[in-house]
Amino acid sequence: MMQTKGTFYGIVTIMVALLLISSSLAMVYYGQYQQEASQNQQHVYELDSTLKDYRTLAGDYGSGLSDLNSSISLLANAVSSMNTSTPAYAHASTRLSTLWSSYQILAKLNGSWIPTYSVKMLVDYGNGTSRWYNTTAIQPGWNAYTATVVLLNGRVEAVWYQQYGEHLVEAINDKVSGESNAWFMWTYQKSGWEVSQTGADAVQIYNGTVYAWTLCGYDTSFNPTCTP
Amino acid sequence: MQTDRIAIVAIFTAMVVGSDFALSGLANVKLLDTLVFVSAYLFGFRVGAAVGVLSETIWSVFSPYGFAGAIAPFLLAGELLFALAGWTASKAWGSEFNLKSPYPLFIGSLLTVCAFVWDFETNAATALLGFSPNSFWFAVFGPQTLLFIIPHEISDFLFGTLLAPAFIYIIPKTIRSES
Repeated sequence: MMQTKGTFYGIVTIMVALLLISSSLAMVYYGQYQQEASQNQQHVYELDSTLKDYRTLAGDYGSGLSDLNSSISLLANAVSSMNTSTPAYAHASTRLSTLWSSYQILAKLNGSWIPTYSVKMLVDYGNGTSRWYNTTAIQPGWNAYTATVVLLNGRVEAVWYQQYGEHLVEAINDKVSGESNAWFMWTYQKSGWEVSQTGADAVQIYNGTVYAWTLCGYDTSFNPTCTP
Repeated sequence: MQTDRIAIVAIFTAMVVGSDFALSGLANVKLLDTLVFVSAYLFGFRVGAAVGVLSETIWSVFSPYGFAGAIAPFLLAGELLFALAGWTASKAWGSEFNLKSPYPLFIGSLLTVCAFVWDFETNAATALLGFSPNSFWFAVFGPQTLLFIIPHEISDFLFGTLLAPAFIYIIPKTIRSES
């Protein structure tokens, strides 16, 4: 009986001790839980604030991209109406290609879809050498002159006819027209190559446009004596 | 210049600049030449020259194609030709002018010749200023210019035959009835 009573008190003592220990542990863990919960709440606030900042930044980025696109369009227009002998033209026409490439990369990072046209341009130097330039990155609204300047990284020289608002291209990739030859622009139609009756500025580029520049001689009526 | 002459120059200049912008979508089709001719025909060379110089100066700066730059003096000089033609025509036909006579056709033809000289003069200046003496004739009459030269001459002929005689007939009558 005495042994049973001692065992009983022993068990009770152990249980109380276990209760005390588990309660202490529970209190410690509860304290830690409270601390973690508080930290989590803080993180949620920070995340929420960061998300707001991100959204503001994304808006600013989109707005910046839009401004950049407008600036590129303005630069393209300016390049299209500048005298190519001016130093400003040489700088602006080279920068136009770089800026347009940078804009496309930045827009892709933003997940923006940029409508662009696919264009093929042939440059025939009239001495048996020619080269195709293919791109899928022509901005809608550009004319053939601007597209040519961008495709050739500004290596185009031309006379600007202010009274008509168009250029006479005189040199492409440093190949200069002379007394008996000139750069002619051609567009590819269903019937084949057709020489352009206007300057490149008046030729609008569309998706899939195929055009060419040839350096070749001309007859007394100024018709080209070659085809691409 | 008298006040009424200044008012006439201002009215014609406003008409020219307004029509320049209205017709800017049509390649080289403009009322400028006709109005300069008419103003010189009716009010003398000085008025015509003032209208031509003022309107061409405004257009050289505010044209949608951009600032004219070095070519501007040649554009202005070209307009003086139309003023001279108008003044000379008034001296030659002034009292005999009649809408039923062949004079409207003469005016149209005269404006066509002036338009050709204007195109030649401005294209030649562009070619020389563009440092392309090697391909001078190509730069002046090449395919890139023909689509602008031809509409200029056709439109000047039509405006000169149809509009200029109408203006020359109506404007003096209107001024007389107002005064």
